[in-house]
Amino acid sequence: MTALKRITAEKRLFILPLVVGLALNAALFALAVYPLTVRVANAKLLAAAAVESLEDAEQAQAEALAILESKSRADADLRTFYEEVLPLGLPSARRITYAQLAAMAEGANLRHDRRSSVAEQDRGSRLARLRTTMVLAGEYADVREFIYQLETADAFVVIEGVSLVQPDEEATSLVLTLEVSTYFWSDQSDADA
Amino acid sequence: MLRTNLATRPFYNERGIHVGLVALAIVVVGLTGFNVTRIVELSRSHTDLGLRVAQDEAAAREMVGETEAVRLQIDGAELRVVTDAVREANGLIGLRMFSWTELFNRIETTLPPDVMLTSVRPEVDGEYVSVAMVVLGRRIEAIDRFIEALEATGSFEELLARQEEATDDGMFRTVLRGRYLGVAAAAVGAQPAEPGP
Repeated sequence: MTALKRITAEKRLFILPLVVGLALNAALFALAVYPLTVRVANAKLLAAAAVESLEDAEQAQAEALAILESKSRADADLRTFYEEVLPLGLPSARRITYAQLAAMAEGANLRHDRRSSVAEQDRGSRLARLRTTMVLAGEYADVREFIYQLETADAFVVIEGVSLVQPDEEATSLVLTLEVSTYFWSDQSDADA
Repeated sequence: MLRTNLATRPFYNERGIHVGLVALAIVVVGLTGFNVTRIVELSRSHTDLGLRVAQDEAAAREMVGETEAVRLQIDGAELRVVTDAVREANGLIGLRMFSWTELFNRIETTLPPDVMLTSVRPEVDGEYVSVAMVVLGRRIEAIDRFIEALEATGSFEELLARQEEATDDGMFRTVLRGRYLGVAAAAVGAQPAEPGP
């Protein structure tokens, strides 16, 4: 009888429960711990995917809300621009470009030569434009003063083009052709639509 | 005299075997504890993850529904109209903010005596302002000097003589066009620059 057999025979009351315990642990690991580990790993992947889709949904919602909010803000800003910054209609625009411009030119010592005005509206635009071309004559410094007065005035007048001509080389007086426009809300585009 | 042969009965270290068995028992108990703990932890984790997945999926579904509702409120055509109107308004504000006085100040400091400015027209295109100028000069070198001087101020870039023709009185009429950068400073300051001397 070898020593191992003898030990096994003599200590079987202790060895058997230990072997059974080891076998049960192996079975427990193979049948419960390992499959559960795999299921948890899969569940983690699913959870990560769910978090990602939730984040995507949150981002999409934030973008949609941002568009809605920026549209509302743009609408409000546009309303303020149309109602408080621009002239309210053709009569108001005409008062700015007709009487006020002439007074301003006179105040800057410019001689009023001729003027033409036309009201027009670009297709698809919400705004109509009253475009005025003024031909004035005077000294260069007065021209500069007039332009300064015009661009610092409260009225929304846009200088679109300036043309200066010296009639002859000896003359100190210049002929100024000024293209100015003012804009006002028009519902014509809505009517077209 | 003792005649028994003691070598016929194998000897083993009883204490060593006991120590080994106790160590093995500790290992078995440790493994059992580990397995049981893992099973409890993993089961709890699996339950929690399942619950979280269900909550996240439900929240995502709800959010998708809400997003759709928000999107329904956004009319694409209306949005385009507003976008175009904003672009138009910004263009007009850009033109209104354009400081002619500042532009004339820059031109005055750079215009050679034998070159005359006859026409200026700005154009706002998005963030940029282009300026088209018509100048009359006796010599092309003088007009070129004017272009170089304008660009040297840093207020103009990409200036180009787009078109040039000789006039009846022996001068050159040149159409210059370039990007004007001075408007940025004008847009920051509310008040336009004072007119030059």
